[in-house]
Parts: sequence; C-alpha cells; structure tokens
Amino acid sequence: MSCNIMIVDDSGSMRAVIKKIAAISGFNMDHCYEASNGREALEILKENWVDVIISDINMPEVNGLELLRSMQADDLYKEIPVIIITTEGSDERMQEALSHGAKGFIKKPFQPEELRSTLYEVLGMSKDGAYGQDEADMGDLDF
Amino acid sequence: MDRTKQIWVTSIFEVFEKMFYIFLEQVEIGGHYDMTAQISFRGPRNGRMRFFFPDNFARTMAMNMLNMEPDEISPVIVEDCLKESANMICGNFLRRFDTSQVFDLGLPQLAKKTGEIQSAPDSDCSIAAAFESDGEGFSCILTFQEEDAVR
Repeated sequence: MSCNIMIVDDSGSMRAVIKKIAAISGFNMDHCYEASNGREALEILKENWVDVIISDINMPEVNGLELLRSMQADDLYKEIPVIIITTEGSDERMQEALSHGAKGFIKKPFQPEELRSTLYEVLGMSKDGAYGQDEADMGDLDF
Repeated sequence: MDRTKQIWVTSIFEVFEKMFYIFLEQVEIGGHYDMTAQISFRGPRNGRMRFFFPDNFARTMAMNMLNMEPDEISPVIVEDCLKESANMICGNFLRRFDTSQVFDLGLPQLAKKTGEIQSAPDSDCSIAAAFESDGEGFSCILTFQEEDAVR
C-alpha cells in the first residue's frame, strides 16, 4: 500500500529534512505534497488525497493549530491523521494540539527515529514496515 | 541568571547536535559575523534571541542539516537554516525554562550584516555566549525585557 504525505512547515529546509526521513523510513510513498502554511495545506487538500499530514505550529497566515481546527470542522478532512512537529513544547500547547485532533506530537529538535516511529504508529504499521494485523489479514481473504 | 544561562546553553548544544550534527564547545565571546538571525518571544517573560554567524559556519550548518554538498547550497538555503536554528533554540529553551507556561514565538528573521561581536558582561536582562567547532563558531545574545528580567 502506498501513501500520500503532506509536510506543512514555513521552513523549506525543515520540509526537506522531514521528506528525506520519510523517504528512507520504509514507506511506499506515492506523493509528498509540501505547503508553507495552513492555508496552502487546505488548498492542497481540496484537490488531492492525503493519508497523513506532518505539520509545524508556528507559521505565517494560517498556523498549525488553525489548520487542525479547520480540518476538524470538515467531515472530509477530520479523519486524516496529523502529526505536529514543533518547537513549541509547553504542556498546554501540546494538549491544545491533541484536543484539536493531532495524533502525534514531536518536539524540535528531533531524531529521525522519533519521526519514523511516530509515522509508523499513526499509520498503523509495525516496526518492520508491515501494516497492522487487520489489514495484513485481508490478504488471506478470497474475494 | 546562572540557571537561565545553563538552560540556554544546553538548548543550543542539543539543537546543534541533533539537527546540524555539530558538537560545540563554549568559548570566549567575540569574533566576526556576516549574518544575524533573531527571534522574539512573548509570554510570562518577553524577550529575544540574536545569533551572529560567520559565512563559513552558516554554510556548514546548512550542509549538515540537509546532507548536501557545498555546490548544492544556495544563500536562500543557508538563510532558511539559520532562521530555523533560531526557531528551534528559542522553542527548546522556553520549554526547558518553564514547560507549564505558554510562550508565543515570533517568526524568525535574518539580516545580512557584517561586524565584530564585542564581549559584554552578563546582566539581569542580558546574557551572551559563544561556541566553536573545528575552529569555526558563532556568538549569541539572549535579552529579556527589563521588567521581565530574571534574577
């Protein structure tokens, strides 16, 4: 199974780092969309299917928390898992992100393994890159 | 201010080790710089951090962060890496400083400005530090607004 990832960060360098980590983490990545703020991310969502979003919080125009709120208010987008990667690590800010639907929270600076394991967890994959038991079992069914 | 400086220096070490694969040692303040990155923060304490980078060190940071060759590094990439370093250090420092409080970070800014950084004693409002790795380094200053000075 391949997946589409969207990286939302106003730093092009950070997007490049995240993209490289995702690419070498064993995912069958179909498309990797990039947005430099929440507004651009919402525009991309209108036209494209995305399986998981990795987003910063502190961005110009529409920040990461506003992006989460917009997605939660939309039936089409609210089930898309969002992993927050941010420098803002206060307990309150983390709880705010989780209460608005974030499925993971990684604090910058981070080790590649932290991102890899969070992506695996959010996408329901085991550490060897296989998808979860329910999905794996589907391969044994006769249709 | 000793505790604040210790937290700040620890944050700088962590960001450089994890994101830039650069292992720093603290040195005397001073030296030439070509670019300044700065970021402000607001919350229970208000202030800003300024970082003074020489060209060579800035390029090394960008190459290490993105695993790129020297000829792949453009000025735009270097500037973006410096702004992101300021962002990460500031956020890391503030959550170590007080994780129970919410701080709002400004957007990092960069200026191309050449100069020599001068040594200055730490005060209740301002602390400075300098770092080096393989003969190249940078200096930085953390300033709190006067009414928010940490004693």
